[in-house]
Amino acid sequence: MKKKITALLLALTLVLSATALTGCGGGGGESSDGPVSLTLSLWDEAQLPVIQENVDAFNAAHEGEIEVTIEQIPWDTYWTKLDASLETNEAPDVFWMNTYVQKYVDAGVLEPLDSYIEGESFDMSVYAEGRVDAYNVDGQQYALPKGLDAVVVALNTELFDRYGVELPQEGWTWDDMRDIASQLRDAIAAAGGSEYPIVMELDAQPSWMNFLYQNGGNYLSEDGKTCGIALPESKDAIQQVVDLMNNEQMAPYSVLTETKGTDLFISGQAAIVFIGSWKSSVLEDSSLAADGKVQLIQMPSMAVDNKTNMGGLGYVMSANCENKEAAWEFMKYITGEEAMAHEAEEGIDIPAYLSAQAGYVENFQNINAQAFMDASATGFAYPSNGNFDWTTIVDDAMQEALGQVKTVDEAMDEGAAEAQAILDEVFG
Amino acid sequence: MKQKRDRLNDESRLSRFTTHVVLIFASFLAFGPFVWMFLTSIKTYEETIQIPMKFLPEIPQWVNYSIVSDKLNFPQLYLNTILVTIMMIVGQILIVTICAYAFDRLNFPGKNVLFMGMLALMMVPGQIFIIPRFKLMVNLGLTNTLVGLVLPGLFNIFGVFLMRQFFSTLPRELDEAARIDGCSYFRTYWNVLLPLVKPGLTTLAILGMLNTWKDLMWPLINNSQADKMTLAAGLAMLIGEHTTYYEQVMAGGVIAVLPLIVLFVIFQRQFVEGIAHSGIKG
Repeated sequence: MKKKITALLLALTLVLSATALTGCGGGGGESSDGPVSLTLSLWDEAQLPVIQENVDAFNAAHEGEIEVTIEQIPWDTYWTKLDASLETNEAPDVFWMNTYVQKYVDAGVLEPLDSYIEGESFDMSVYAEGRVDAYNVDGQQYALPKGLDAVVVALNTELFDRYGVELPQEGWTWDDMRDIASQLRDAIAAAGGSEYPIVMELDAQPSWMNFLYQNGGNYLSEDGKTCGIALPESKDAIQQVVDLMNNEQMAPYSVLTETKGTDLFISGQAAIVFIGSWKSSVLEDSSLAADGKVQLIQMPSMAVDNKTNMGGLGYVMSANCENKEAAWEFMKYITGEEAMAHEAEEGIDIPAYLSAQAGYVENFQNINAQAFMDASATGFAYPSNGNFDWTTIVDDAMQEALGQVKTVDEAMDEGAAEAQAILDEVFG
Repeated sequence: MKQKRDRLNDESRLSRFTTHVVLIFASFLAFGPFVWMFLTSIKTYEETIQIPMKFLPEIPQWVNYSIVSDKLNFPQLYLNTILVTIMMIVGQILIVTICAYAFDRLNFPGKNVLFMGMLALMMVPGQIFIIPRFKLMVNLGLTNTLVGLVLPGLFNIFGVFLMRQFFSTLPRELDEAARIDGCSYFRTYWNVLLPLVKPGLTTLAILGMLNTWKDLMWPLINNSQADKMTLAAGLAMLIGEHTTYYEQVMAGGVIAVLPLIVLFVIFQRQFVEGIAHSGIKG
């Protein structure tokens, strides 16, 4: 009996491996007479359904010629998997790219698009300029931009009402914000409330990356060779944030490390939050917004301006791609007016394709999404030079400063020196 | 006499009380996460991120289960996971035991060096192998296959070490007797020694099952087509870059563990006995 079971299991294993192997052989998709098959890799589960619809539309229009399949890889694994697959012919033909673009250009795994663009005089001005530039590395274009994001301020109008504080107006400054936050703080304390006047996320993009530039400092010089966090203006920007926390105008660091600022805001625990457009649908779907209690407004100005940094995805082509013409056709379609208008209508991304942007705002009933568009109109590209060893150091230094493990002076000086050493070694 | 009995009673009452306190605490630790997973799975997104935390949902959101079932093909994920686990356990038992047998019973030059070298490999963090291993799979044409998930894990060094310990407890006289009766090395291994290390096999199988069932990184790297995913990898698809809908992840989690819990309840006796036996005999 036992022998039989063992034999059965063994047989089962053999059969299974055999079927799995043949399954692979059949699925290779390198057949000469069928349509050209392309794979597209992306990471965002939330965007997948809409992009799948766009891909279906593309496949239908190219029936028998090109067949695109999507492979979704979760964000946490996306880059590991990409590194592994780019070294082999297993790489996806077209895939999502973000601020890491320079790293992959340096590794020589991305196909430059200039010959395609020039070949058919493709007009790049249909896309937002800042996003085209972000994917232009050393004078060569490597991606067609998909979307863009921007940072604004969301206000919980119910808390402003409850505590009798007037809402800020467009064109406000950090002085105004400090003033409002103090009024809120005192009113909340008087009423025995537990809410915070201001909260923010501690990541760079929705918070300190903006402050550095708005105050006249910088994160990385224009030529990408010098880290600017130890500039007096940069230090001052961070000091102002630390002061907000110390004056109880902003939730303390310990609270913000434990709970995301946006989660606190949506739970009704904060009056003011710096928030990125990638959170727009979460905000739209919140009961706070459904009750009409959320208002969006541009960021307050620091010493220089209130411009926000702007990220956004792009579609790149693998240098190993075997059907580059087909991949180019697909990239034009998926970043084009029709596909991006559909993304805009579904509210999943603000299109970089300018004439497709209009539909985005209409998708939102509960928040004035136009604020995101306004912010993106003046936004600057998220600064990056393709090296991420020094950015980790700067991130740590920022957290030390905000968490007051060190003084702002110490943290910025030490962080800048250490980061600069790496930059000098890599780019010097 | 009476006094003595009372004291005994008191003692046993006290120890019973302590036992129960410890057990109740332990069961909270064990069940807490499951209860929380279930409660989260029927909340709205807002309730999952609510501060202060909300224990119970206002209105149970059963719709989360249908949302997540639409997103993931659970029967397929289950089938894949079960197939991979079976292949892994059967394959590991065969390869690992035959290797352990060789290391324990046979003499060949360089045996100890080889064995030490293998053990040293256990100290190398597994992440280092991911990219070379992936390249290997690409060259073998095994990406996006279930075999590709099993093959790299078949040779389990810890398993070899474990089984070698089990083999070394068996007296050499068994081999000699088998030899006299005309058994080859393979027959000695297969018919005489292997049946005697069954407790070890149980341990090996349980460890192998747990590791394969919950493995996340390798399935995500090797297989990118949705129909070749395992349960763990499928659930990971629900994690977003900026926003994760925890209620959907948890609903998926419940769907993924529920059948196992039911299986465990049904076969509880066999499970516990299996482990207890291995304790006694091993």
